[in-house]
Amino acid sequence: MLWYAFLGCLVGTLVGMLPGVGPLAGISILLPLTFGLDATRAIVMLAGIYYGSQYGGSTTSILLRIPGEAASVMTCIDGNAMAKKGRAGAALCIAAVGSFVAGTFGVLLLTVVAPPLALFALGFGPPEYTTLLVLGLIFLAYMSTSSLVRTLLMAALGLLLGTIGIDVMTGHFRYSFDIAELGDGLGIVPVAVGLFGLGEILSTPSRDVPKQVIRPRFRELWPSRLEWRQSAAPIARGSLLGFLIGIIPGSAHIISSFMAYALERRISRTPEEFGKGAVAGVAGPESANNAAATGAFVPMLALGIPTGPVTAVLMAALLIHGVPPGPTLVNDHPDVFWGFVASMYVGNLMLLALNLPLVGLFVNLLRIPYAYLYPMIIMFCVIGVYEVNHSIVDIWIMLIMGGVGYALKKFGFDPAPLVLGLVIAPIFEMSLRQSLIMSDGAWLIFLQRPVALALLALSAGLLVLAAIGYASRRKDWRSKLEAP
Amino acid sequence: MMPKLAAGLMMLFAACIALAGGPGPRLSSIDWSDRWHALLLVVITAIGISFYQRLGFLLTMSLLVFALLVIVERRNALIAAAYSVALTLFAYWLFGKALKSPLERGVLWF
Repeated sequence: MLWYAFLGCLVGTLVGMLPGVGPLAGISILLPLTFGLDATRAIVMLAGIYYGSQYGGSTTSILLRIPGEAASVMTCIDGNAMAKKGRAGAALCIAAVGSFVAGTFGVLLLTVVAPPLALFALGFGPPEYTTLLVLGLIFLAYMSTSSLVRTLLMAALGLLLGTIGIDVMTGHFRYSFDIAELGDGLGIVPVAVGLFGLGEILSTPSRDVPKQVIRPRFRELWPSRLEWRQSAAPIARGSLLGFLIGIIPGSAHIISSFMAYALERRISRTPEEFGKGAVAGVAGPESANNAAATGAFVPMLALGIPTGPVTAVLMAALLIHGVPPGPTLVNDHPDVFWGFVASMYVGNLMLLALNLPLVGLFVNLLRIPYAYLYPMIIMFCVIGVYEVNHSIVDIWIMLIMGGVGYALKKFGFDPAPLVLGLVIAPIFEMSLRQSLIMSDGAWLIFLQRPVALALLALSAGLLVLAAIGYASRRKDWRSKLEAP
Repeated sequence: MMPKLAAGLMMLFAACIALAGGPGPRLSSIDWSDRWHALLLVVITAIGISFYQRLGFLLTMSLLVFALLVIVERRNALIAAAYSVALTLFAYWLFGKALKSPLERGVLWF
């Protein structure tokens, strides 16, 4: 088990560091490699890639001012400024320790929160589950860094694509165009790899990695006493804020780092230091994005609801291994749940040990020209997708989705809600139709059950809030997120 | 019912975007300067995919990586050939041998 956690953390660090390979593409490409493993080992390895990438992203941000993945954007600002002042080692150490503290804190809360939440959700029937999924999608749109309507449009497209294949209730083929492989529907892996792996490559013109990589020396890694003092409170605040945001559907790890940065700047006695190498500008966002990555597992494990595309793919991985995530997971598969939680405690420690001493080695990887790197990624994409079902149709779907991902990026649409919609489509359709069967086709059932009604009211409240925000054209925090 | 619901929601949201799209940036302002690079990548990958099952993993992937490096990136053919063969052999060892993931043999016997 420890070996798979280590492997996941190592690959995750590399995935987080390399520009153009996000955690989603990394997990999707490597998913087929877990088919020979049992569910616990598979999820331990894949989750290691996810939270490992949050650590790895900080290295390129600090040393190159290139975020390895979106959640590291804020670390670029002060992390790289610290590096230019000769404090690269200290910035990396603070980022790694902050990530470790936040990750461990997140796992502690996950251990406490997930089982009772799952117990509560066991009382949910199909109407409650349907409205919970609706709330999840609306929360995702509300918290999205893109516009609410665009996010919902992408989620609806995902739901529509999720209807391809055999109708689970009637057994009829839908939109399969006599292609037998489409009977099982569009696979998550080809769609995710196409949109996030290939799509990213298509929209990244080949360029060489800048030569000015700042190489920290090992003895420079230890921060000064003042830097430790300045980072302690931001790490604590970032950990709590990140975990709370992580539970909410949306691009939690990205939003949490932006919000942690804004919070630290707001409460700082020296806000003018931000942008010029403020320690809190590294400690806060780095802690927040790691805590959010852990927090995102709470709804996935306890409720069976993915809060973002990464947890959606992880959920798909569990389903492939015959383990349905949700309220029954803790009782029916305690080995998977607790094995996974235990691996995260160890995984965070491994990442701390990996990231600091081996930073010099990892930096050398950044010297590989992108022109040589992306053919390798394309090759891994093809292998990863093909190995799921040994289906050439899946590779064609990946290629088409790559083109779609490229176009979506050009038109300013975020493809993440599409993947989320695709994953929840079968669950959503099943619970919706079961609800309507229960009520003989009356949609009023969603208003007659108290929990379902409360969840719908919350969804409506969020839509009203968004509409008020739009109508008054108020510059809220979302508009500030789009600026960098 | 579900397809109709999803399609209906898509139409509704698309209409919202169209109605509120006036003040946004013009479509002509989108930078398509990388389109030929993207198109070339798609075409070369598509050719590779169509030969994947016939030629097998080793031949297809070596040729795919070589074509990307020489045609798209205009790299030295010798270096590209060495890199593509070495990379494919490494991937073959990693996936096919170490991880025991069955790869397409194609025209080759191993």
